[in-house]
Amino acid sequence: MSESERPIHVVGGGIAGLVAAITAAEGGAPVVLHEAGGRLGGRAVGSAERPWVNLGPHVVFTDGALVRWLRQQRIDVSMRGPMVRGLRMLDDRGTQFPIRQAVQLLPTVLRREAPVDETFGAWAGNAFGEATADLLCRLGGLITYHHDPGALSARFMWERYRRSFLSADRVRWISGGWLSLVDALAARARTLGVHIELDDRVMPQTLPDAPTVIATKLSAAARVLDRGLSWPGARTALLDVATTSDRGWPAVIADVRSDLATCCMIERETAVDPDALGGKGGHLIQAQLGVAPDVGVAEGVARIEDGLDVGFPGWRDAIGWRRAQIVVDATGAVDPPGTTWRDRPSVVQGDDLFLAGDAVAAPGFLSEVSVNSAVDAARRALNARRGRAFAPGWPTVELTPERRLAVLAAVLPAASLNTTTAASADDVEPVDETGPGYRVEQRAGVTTATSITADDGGVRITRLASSRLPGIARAAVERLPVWRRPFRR
Amino acid sequence: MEDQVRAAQGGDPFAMDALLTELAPWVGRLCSSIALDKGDDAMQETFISVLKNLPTLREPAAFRGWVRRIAVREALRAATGDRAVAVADIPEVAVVPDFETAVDIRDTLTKLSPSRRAVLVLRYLEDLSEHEVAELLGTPEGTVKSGLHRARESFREQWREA
Ligand SMILES: Cc1cc2nc3c(=O)[nH]c(=O)nc-3n(C[C@H](O)[C@H](O)[C@H](O)COP(=O)(O)OP(=O)(O)OC[C@H]3O[C@@H](n4cnc5c(N)ncnc54)[C@H](O)[C@@H]3O)c2cc1C
Repeated sequence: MSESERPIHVVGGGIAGLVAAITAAEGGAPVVLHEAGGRLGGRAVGSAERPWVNLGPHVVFTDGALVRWLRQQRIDVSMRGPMVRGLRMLDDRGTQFPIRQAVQLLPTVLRREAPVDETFGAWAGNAFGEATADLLCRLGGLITYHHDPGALSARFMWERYRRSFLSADRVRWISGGWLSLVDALAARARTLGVHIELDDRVMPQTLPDAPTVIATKLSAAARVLDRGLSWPGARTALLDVATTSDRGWPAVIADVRSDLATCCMIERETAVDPDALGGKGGHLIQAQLGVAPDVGVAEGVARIEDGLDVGFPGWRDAIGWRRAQIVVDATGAVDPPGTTWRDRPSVVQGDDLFLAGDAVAAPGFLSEVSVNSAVDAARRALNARRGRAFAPGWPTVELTPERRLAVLAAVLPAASLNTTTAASADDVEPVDETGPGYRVEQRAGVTTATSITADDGGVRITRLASSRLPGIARAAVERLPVWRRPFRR
Repeated sequence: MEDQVRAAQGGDPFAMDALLTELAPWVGRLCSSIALDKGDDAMQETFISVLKNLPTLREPAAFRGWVRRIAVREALRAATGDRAVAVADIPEVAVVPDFETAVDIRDTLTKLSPSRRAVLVLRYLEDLSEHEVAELLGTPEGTVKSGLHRARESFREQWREA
């Protein structure tokens, strides 16, 4: 085989593998994708019999890496939401509108940063007082699927809390379930000529020639690469119920009763997306609860059902179908105190092997980590391949985020650049949550881009703003506060 | 890529940004192989020129060739703006690059004039024919041939045969 025909291999056909394959194919390489199972999608596809029913409640964020990447690629996936009504809180006093909690959480709006080294519980206790900290830790279960969110890094939790609760208007549901996302990705991959091999489990002895992107869960990657790769994750009980009727039930119940250190979330998917059951009629309720290692399926699910009994009266008489299970390390990485995403297993594994997935060193939320790491891994694989295909060792230079901004500033209308410095990258972590060190955004006709570069001891932050609006209107929009709704969906 | 080119022609900043990402590894290698230390400036100028002139590109399918031209022009401009090494002073010594470890390519390139580097890059990195190289650089084919011949000599047998 001539070097220019040398393919990039991708192991794993979940979101990470598909994104990596598309990125590599777009970069001009032949791509072979190896998927162990008989279908694509990995965890994004529920089960063989009901693939359209997601593996537990799944949402996406319009400001996150997944949605942004889909937009950039012009891959059309239809979404529903935001959900503005129908959230109820179930606490020790019963089911209610979350008004009291919203008021209680109001002061949290002002806090932007949290430390890496403290536990979320301890930090929030000092910052907001015990009662509020307690509520915050429980609510953390909604976004981490973890049984004890208060024990995780304060920075990790705070970033997630701010993004999902203070910007609840950016939450979307994918219509027809994540199956339709997977189908759209697979269609694009096929259009680009990606060669997809199903039922093709890669083993250490059948590891294809590099450059290769391993886009499996860490445990599988560790087996394939025969090296230690691990990171803490969550253990989560899941209950899915299809019912024949809807008895005026709420859309979402957050069960934060005090026997839990976390929250049990019960979501009536069909309230947001009538197609959540694949257009088959009926109603779909999905619930998740982070459980400790010693809790079994029966016990975990019984606790979920207890919340259903209170919030969804009559549900037991309307069951059409039911699925209960515990998933382990399936909901992405969680960062313990003292660690950030940068400490997780690296994308670069040496010998032109690259890792992608939701527990790899990349920023973002849940599957956004898969997307960010997949794009990163595929670009590196492309570079490695170019290096091999053409004479290796030709000089090359990278497009640094700062130079990239300089380019955009020179071509976008009425652009301004402005550079500041900060003591450490940690202080600006949220800026790069959707892409390592760099991102572009658009709001009300104003394009903004930010880059973060290490600068001896500290970091340099460069911001670009550009707009086609006339001066006054533009100044007004730039000064506009980013309106964030309080916790309300 | 063509869709992105069209969207960028329409002024979509996300498409422009995506184009930069797609092109950077390729343009970075082109520019720094010709302009060496000035490679990053050359790349920046290339991208500015590409995005500014994008609306004038009529056939998005011709995009890559068009970008290559701009990159070579900007790299030559960046390289020759640097008068530290006069073109006439560049010795045509035989340096034998080690292709396996490939540490000496850069070294070898520094000993050539920018325009000869451009010939090498286009012929061997970009796989263009001698005719295409001549056309792109606006030089007679004979000049490209003799240039390559001498460069091949200086690189000895290490180069992939034409
Ligand atoms: C209950 C639950 C709720 C979630 N909620 C959300 C949410 O709201 N928002 C969100 O963004 N994300 C959510 N997620 C996370 C999201 O589902 C995952 O991050 C994402 O699907 C991971 O994709 P991946 O490609 O990295 O991994 P996977 O989907 O696990 O894909 C890995 C693939 O590799 C294959 N494979 C494994 N070993 C081999 C081998 N040796 N050879 C070949 N192939 C192999 C597997 O079969 C699989 O198809 C949730 C997950 C769960 C479980």
